[in-house]
Amino acid sequence: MKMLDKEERELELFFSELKSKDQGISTPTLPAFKAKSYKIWRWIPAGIAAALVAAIWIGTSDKKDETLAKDVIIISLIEDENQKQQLIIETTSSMDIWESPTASLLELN
Amino acid sequence: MSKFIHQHVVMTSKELEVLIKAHHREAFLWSRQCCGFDTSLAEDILQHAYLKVLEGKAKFGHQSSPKTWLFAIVRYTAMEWLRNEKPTHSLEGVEIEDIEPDRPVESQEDMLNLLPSRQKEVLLLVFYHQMTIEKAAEIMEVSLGTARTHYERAKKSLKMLIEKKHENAR
Repeated sequence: MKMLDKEERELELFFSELKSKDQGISTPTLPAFKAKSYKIWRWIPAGIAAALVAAIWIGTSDKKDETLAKDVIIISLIEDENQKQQLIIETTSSMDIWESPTASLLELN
Repeated sequence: MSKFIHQHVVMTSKELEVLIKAHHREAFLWSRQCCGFDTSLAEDILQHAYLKVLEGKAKFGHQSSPKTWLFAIVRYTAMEWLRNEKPTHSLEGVEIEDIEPDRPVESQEDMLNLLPSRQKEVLLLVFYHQMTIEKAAEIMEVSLGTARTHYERAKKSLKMLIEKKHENAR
């Protein structure tokens, strides 16, 4: 047991000498830790690009609605001043208003 | 169920920064000891270890203390670097009498560098960093029994080196 204590003491002395020698070593400065917000900045160009693509898409899709792919025939049933009903047939390549042929059924209900 | 299941504790980057700041000096000295007392290499290794911590590549396990965890990362990073940069040959099982130093052994650092790496690590963790053998085993990623064996051998080897130094001084 005494032998063990002597051995331990010898090693403790050895390491305490090493420790006191290490006190002369200066600690390096801590690296500057980057804030996590830099990731948000990375997404800004992507966000702008996505917004531009969406704006272009919306702009072009509106124009497509204005012109029809094919000419359409509009058949309208109109009642004249003599309360006679007559059919008016016309051809058009664009439409401003469109009414469903079954819309009147909904109104009746 | 194994009791060794690792539960990961999510730490915020702020908490990790606080942990690093609290143990910076000790982690630096440990890093230096892990890479053969090379101060500039120790700084590089420490930077890499901190990056692992902050980028979440190394996750804090509930089973160890934050300091033990940080020391294990520093050691692992140093081992990784030494494996890639230097051709190594294991000194495990080599008796200290067989080791012929290239230059006269003068300092404590020279003596420790002559020891097999595991022996050097366990002595530094116990005597220098005041850790228990259990904690040292965690950091060294060995079983408690293995750590104890390295510890006993290390004490004998270092004692022998100290005696040799005293004999040469006479």
